[in-house]
Amino acid sequence: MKEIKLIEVKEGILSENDNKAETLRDELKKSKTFLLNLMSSPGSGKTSLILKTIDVLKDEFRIGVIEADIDSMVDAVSVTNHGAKAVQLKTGGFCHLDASMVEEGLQAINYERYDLLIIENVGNLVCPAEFDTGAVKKAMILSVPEGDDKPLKYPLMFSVCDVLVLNKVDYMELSDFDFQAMKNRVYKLNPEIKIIEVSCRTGQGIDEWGEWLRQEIKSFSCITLD
Amino acid sequence: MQTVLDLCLKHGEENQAEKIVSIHLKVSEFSDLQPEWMQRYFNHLSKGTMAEEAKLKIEKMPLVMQCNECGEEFRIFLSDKTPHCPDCLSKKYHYVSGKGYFLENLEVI
Repeated sequence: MKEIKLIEVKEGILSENDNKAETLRDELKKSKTFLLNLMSSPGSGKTSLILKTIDVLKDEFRIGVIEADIDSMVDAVSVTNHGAKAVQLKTGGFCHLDASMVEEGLQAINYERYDLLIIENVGNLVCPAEFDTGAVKKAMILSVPEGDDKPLKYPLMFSVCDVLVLNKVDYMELSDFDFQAMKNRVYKLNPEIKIIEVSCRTGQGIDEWGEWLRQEIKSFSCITLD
Repeated sequence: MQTVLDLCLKHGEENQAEKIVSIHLKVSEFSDLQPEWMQRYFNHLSKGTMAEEAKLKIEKMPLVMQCNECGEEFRIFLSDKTPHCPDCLSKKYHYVSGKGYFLENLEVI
């Protein structure tokens, strides 16, 4: 019987992706392009929030959108009709974007020409949480109809994001969504996360969201390169 | 899982292994991936490679936070209702370690 040998590896499984993401972040710093990774379940309002964001910030920043879907162009068409530039990445069955797919999107849209680029990730609360895309900040949307228990079911997503946008708050009174319970569950996983309540339908909270993003973009563009 | 397989094959080849017998992975306990399914995907992907039939040994990594007030490091659990620093009872803390996936070691012949 042959002898069994132990090989010590101690290597991050996603280290290749993480390195690529770091490289992208360095490039984005040079061109002062703020990249936001927007994640959520399907139907929670990613495209609606992006359209509202364009309305609020289009006079101050040059905005572009990198759309990712398994196989369709509908979101890119909506964004383009709204007056912002969009590129569509078809992930061809993949449930998330990784850094090398984002790199393709950045090149396709000519990222140096923009102050703000938003990645509309694939609608999914599981895999996108695992992959660093090179974004400066990560945002997620939870919508009221999805329920206040989502932080219990998808803890990783809630623990990696910088900001949580609670959308469809105009449905709150029609539902048994427990806002305080949801907040407690989220802060437990991520004590530093910012929570912003909005309704893309009525426009409630969109100014607060726009202001958060404006300040983040401004402080990012002030960072001096080391 | 393809990335896990690729990494194992790379290290197997570098060490001139004939066969990979077991693979020790560290996985965040906050990961949604279930060990049983990771093994099933791995079995499917590794057919015809030196890692075919390798057993995944999956160790869950605890999530560790550090208190902003007193600096104490502590573990938090998904089941904690109101997590706080066990030392000074502060509820202000930040992430230290316990996220991600790591390939620890391989047993090969």
